[in-house]
Amino acid sequence: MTDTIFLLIIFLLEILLFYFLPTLNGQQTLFGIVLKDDDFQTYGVPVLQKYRRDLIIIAVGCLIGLFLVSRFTINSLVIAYIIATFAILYPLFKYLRQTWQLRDRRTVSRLATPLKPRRLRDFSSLWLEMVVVFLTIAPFAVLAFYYPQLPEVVPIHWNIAGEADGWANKSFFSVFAPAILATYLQIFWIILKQDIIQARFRVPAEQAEEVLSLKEISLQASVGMIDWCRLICGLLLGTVAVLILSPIVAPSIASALNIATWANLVLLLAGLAFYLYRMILASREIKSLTGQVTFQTAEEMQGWTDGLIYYNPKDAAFMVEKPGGVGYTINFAHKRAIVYLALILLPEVILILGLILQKS
Amino acid sequence: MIIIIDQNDSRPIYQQIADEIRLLIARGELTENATLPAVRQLAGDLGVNLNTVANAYRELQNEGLLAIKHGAGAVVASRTTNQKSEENLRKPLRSALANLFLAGLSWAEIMNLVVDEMRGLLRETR
Repeated sequence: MTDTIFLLIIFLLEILLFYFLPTLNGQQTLFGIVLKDDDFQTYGVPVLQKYRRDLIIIAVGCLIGLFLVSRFTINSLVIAYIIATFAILYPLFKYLRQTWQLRDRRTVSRLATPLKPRRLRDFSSLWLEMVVVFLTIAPFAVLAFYYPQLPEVVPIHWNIAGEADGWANKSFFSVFAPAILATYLQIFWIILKQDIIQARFRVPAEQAEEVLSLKEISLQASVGMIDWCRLICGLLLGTVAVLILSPIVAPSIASALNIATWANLVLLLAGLAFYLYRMILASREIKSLTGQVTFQTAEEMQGWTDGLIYYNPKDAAFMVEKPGGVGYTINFAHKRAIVYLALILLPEVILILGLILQKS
Repeated sequence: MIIIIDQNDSRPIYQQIADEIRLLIARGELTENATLPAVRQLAGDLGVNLNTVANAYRELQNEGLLAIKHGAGAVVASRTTNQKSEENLRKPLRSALANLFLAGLSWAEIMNLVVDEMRGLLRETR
């Protein structure tokens, strides 16, 4: 029952996010696409109303569906939830395609960039790296130390109150899963951080200096967001790893661990919102200074499909800014895209392998 | 320390990149041992081919301005080129002055421009 409420709360938050997200429906960008100011007045305002109406109709339909499904098993609810999450994306894609036709097509032919290397070490602090490495390795050491003492059945799932309600036979996989997941995420994030630091950094030839300082703020915020995720997720998954041990080591701290888990989740979301807000502010200032958000050549502009997917074999850049100026996307024509595909498929492969090993 | 390239410029892109770096070195904004971005980074930032940037770096290396180290990228090796041949140095000056004459500028106007540009360079080089 608590899982049902938890899923429904998350779903409501998703609806609120898609209803209010500033990058989707602010004055600066509509669905992450930059329009000319008069186009925003004539086209943007009515289309926003249509989008919000469609979103509410679909969301209400999904909520009714979820309530009906929630009477059956939790698995059917999870599947229904995944379908509902895709369903509320539908109006976004529908109006995004429409809006892309009206995008601001101004491009630049004179472009500038600072002649300064951007290296991973210039954007890293030693103490943070040490804390993250410790948080990633320590759970392995602690779990390995207590592994012989663990009972034959170990908890793998906890309810909202932090009480174990799902169990599995003790195995390398069931005990170390949170620590393995944490390691995977940390590796993924460090690769992502490196690529975002190396993402295309470009300013217009006119007003280069002013835009440069705003772009730097935006890059710092992106890097800050990833570092925040690395730290908080390290804490979060470290806590979960210790939760497995709490029945044998210290049953009394289970509730404290539960509070810590929730506090970490709140911190994670607050940090994400803070850094996103800074990126949006910087992007707004760039637009009010220059009238544009990103500074692309005509050829680069051709690489976009519906403002979502970037495919340009002639472009040496791997990470590029989204057309709305907030966030990044990858150049799917770049060789490195395969690394990302492999990283995204890796957990599924491990999960399937783990299940096969458990069966045999 | 910003470099600017123009797609409508008649010079090839690699030439523009090399010229911009030369200017930054001449002005003293890039000092000796200053590290330049990796070829990959600069190519991505400017949206040009990797070879374009590599060619520009190679040209500057041949002039003795840059030293290219594998893995470490390129660093400014020296602030004077090893091109000492007077005729080679004269050629671009001659064509630049010819362009100014053809644009209809007078002797005094050209002198003013030259002095102005020289001041721009010297101000930063102490």
